[in-house]
Amino acid sequence: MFLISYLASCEEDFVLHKKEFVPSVVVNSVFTVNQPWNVNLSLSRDILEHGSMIQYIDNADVIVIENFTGRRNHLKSIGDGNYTSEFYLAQPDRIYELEVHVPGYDVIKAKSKSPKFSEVTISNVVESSEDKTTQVAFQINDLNSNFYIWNLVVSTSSQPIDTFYKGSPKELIYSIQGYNQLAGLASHFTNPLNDAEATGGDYISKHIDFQVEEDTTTSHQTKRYLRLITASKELYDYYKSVDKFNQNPIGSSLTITPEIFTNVNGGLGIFAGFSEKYHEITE
Amino acid sequence: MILGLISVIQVTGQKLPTDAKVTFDSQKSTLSFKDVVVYLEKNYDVIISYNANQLLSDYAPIDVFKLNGLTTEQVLNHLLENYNHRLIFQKPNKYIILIQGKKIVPELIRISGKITEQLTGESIEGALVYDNDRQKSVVSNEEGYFTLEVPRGSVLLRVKYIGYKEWTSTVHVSSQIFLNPKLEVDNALPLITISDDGFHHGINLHNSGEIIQLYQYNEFRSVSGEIDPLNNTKVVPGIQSGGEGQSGLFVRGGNASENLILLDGMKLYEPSHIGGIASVFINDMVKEAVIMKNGFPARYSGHLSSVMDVTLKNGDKTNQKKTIGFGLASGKIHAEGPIGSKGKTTYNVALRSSILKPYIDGVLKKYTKYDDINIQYYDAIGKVTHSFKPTTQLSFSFYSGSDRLTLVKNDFFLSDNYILDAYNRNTLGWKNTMFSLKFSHLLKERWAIKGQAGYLKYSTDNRSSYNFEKTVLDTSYQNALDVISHSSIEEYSFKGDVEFYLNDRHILRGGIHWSLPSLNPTIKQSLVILEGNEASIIDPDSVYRTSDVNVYFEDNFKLGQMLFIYGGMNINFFKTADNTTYQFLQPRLNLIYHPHSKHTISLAYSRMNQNIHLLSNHGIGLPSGLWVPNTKNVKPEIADQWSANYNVHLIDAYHLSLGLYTKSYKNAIEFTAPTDLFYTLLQTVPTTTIFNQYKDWQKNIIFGAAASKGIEAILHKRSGATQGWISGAWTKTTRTFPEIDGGGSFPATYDRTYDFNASIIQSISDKWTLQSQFVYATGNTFSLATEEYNSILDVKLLKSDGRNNYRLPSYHTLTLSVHYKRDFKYFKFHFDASIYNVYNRLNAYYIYIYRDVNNPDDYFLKKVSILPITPMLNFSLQF
Repeated sequence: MFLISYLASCEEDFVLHKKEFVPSVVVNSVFTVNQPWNVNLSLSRDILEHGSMIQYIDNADVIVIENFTGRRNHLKSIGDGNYTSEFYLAQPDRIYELEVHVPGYDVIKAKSKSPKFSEVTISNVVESSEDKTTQVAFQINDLNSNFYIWNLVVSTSSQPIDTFYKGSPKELIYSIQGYNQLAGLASHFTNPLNDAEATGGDYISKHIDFQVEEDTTTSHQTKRYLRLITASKELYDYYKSVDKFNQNPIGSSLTITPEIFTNVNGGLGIFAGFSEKYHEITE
Repeated sequence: MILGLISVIQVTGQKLPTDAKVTFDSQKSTLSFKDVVVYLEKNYDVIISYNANQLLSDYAPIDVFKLNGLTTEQVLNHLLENYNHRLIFQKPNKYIILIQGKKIVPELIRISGKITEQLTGESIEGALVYDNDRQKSVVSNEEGYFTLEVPRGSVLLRVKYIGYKEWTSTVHVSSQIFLNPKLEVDNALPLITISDDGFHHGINLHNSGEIIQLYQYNEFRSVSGEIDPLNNTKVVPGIQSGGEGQSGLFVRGGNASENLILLDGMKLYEPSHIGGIASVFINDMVKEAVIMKNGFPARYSGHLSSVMDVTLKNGDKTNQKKTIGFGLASGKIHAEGPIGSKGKTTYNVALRSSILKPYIDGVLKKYTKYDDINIQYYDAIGKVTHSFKPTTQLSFSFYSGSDRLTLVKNDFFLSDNYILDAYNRNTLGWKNTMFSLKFSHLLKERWAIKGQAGYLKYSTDNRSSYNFEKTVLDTSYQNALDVISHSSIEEYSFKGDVEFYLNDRHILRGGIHWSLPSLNPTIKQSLVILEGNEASIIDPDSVYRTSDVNVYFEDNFKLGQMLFIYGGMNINFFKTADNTTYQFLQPRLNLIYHPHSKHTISLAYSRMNQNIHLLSNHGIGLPSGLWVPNTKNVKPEIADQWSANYNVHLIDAYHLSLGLYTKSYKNAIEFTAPTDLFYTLLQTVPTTTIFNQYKDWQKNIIFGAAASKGIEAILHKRSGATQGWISGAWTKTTRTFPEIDGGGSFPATYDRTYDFNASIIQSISDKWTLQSQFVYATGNTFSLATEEYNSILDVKLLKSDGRNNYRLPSYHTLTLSVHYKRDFKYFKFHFDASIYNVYNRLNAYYIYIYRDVNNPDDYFLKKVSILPITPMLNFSLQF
């Protein structure tokens, strides 16, 4: 009887007594040098409120302000919560502030920087046919303190740029996380590093393992690249917290959902700059 | 006998000599007795008669200036204080000194001894040895040793200990002697009793006064109906009374890793079996168990919240005893007795093993979702003791135990265009092995010397292996994942302790404890199912080899008859695997004021630091965490605690204890990426396999602060046919980390506002006893993220409105039990039957959230309970 009760475990529906839910304004925007501004606005929802949906905000006033000049760039709503502008594109090493006015909410603000590109020297490449991995050693040549995220990119005929990364900032971090998973699985027990916070004047040399999939269906030559993202601190912190979030199951009283970084004052989400470069890997 | 009046000197004067204040204005600071008498007679108009032969021959020079201001009579009495004398005043101005001889200062001789139980020869700690004539007393130490200064000649000694008849003997002392008082069990007294005559006040100089005996008053029953030291701690207010599937100790806001648990002086890292089914202690083996919440003697170090010290019996010196016991969960055998005919060597061994397989295969599988289940645990404990002589003893102790839960599940799903074939195997458990060799010796009556060398190896392994084969239309996908969490501690330890009896009011103690812990905390994962067991898969090069040295000094003394002072200092040196050395001073102080036989007030302060930490899942009652050491980046956790207690014996054996405490932590550790291997194990709703790539634990911990405070009370009735207790505590425990909730405080997972338990034990006859036990506790806190929002990724993110923002429902349960015992001619029979959770409350073990299969945007909550109404049976035979 004891064991039956112990292992058969009893379950029943549970009603959580919680205070009234007020949706938050969610800002999602990453920007890079010389690319159009894209900002998405939506409202959060309570997942225990059945039938509720995430609503997009199309009636907001969205302004990007360049700190140095004070220039205010009003973005245009194009539907589904998206706001864009092709004017006054982001310049390297400039600080930009986002200001969002949503009816019924206080003014929402966020600030970030578009970092400069960082140069990379690939110093060594070692391929292992046994476990189908390639190990790349490289140095980041940067005199400033910066935040780096990198991954390996394979260009094939079917996927000409990247197995995971489609060239859209929207999928930037997601593609790196996909890479992380595969790199970790391929190496079984090693713990591949793919980000770093480096101080000025130092250089970094890191080894990365990844699995090369041969493209035998076409004559297109497979090319491999090291992609280096120089991230703003905001993007780096966001990336690290989302990475942790993706590895934890949604709630139970036995687990804790990691906190997601946000630099959006008065709301949720992210407004962050980055720059990126591809460096071909040759043997 | 009166020796006589010797001489008379007459002086006349005008003032009454008894009123005159004497002033010496002599050029000399010291005078002879004769000179003083002459001075008084000359200046203060008195006549002093005395026997010059007796007083003048051996009288030392007198410091006269300190006599200024006294009357003539006071001066004379002072001069005669070393003589048995009478001072007679005859009007108008004559003093007559009658000398009966010089005062005799009795010669004191230090005696020592060892107090043992008459039947078994077991030493008794804490017995009171009382010199009846001089009203002096001392208390025996851990080995039953005592030492006491008594006057030469006949001395009436009394020895008392709870549950034993008083030992009384007139001892003729002419030189240093060694006694061996043997106390006889008082069968007329009920098992739970206390002498309430003020003779035994429970305070002794060997240990701090906040030590709580776990067997004297408590009979807390676990879910399996058993009583053992670990369960009995739950009666103590400030120690959590338990919870659904909760194992381990949670003391004054501390978590389960913050308790130093010692078995014969050796550490145990896991005191419980799965979900708190049973503790590792086998009751028949245990001689004594104590717990401390504060006022820790300086000899203890390494854990922040409590010290639980369990001592094994040496074994019966005269008779062979055997016990066989069975319950629904386990069976045990215990044996103790002398080896050889001289009784110098004894043994005490026990083995307990789970006996669940027949139930599992025959019954359980039909009621559960698993294809294969196995639960196995065992404990093997032993001790062999050799007494070279009453003052010298060598003992060897060992413990071996393990815990293993295995759950296997196969899922097969078939539709027109979809086939899923999944195999899922989850195992978790721990293993523990400990050996110890201990030497004790009483040297020259005043020195007790102890040495101990030991070895322990503890490991906990958790593994989830998944094999999936999925076929969609004509395409098949195969995946495998093997996730292993392994944590091991291997430790060599050496201890040397010295106890010095300065006098009956003062004991000094010091020592050095050195241990070499090697830890291997690892999480590994593979795309293929790895061969071999968990320990063989782990990389031995990832071991952290450390060194931990504690040097301590204790000074325990009585100040007057009412104040006991326990002071001490522990100096800790911890060398990490990356060659960082941490040094810490850990001061300890405990003041006990005992103004009356029924009242005791104490105030204690302790600083404790912890060098080995448990990174654990939150709230889960399973050994699923990683034990990790200090490193260059991971600093020792530190706890400072102040507490005050008031104890009073009320009428009719009622005893009330009230307590307050406040505790603050520095370098508190929070694990930010717990490995939730058992999330899928416990869930009944299918979930995605969690793949945690953060294998480097050092990158996933953050440091902050914590604080706890509380009020505690217990009312105990300790004798009579009806006994019992009401124990409760209010506590508040918060944690603060810069990275969590913007640096604001949040309640700890194990924070409990109210924790309460009560029991009534009713003796029906000398054979039958009934017991009821009720527990109530505020639910533990937990974090639940329910605010969903879009991200720049393709995934939706979740946010909670604060760490530990919800509480589980309150936990409460009632246990009823009946106990029968009977002594037959050749054996003793003992039977227990109990029903846990009589009114079948479905207490929350945990709560989880899941998606509606038909509408993925809708989420629901489920509460999981694991212990509904649960009957248990246990019986034993002793012969």
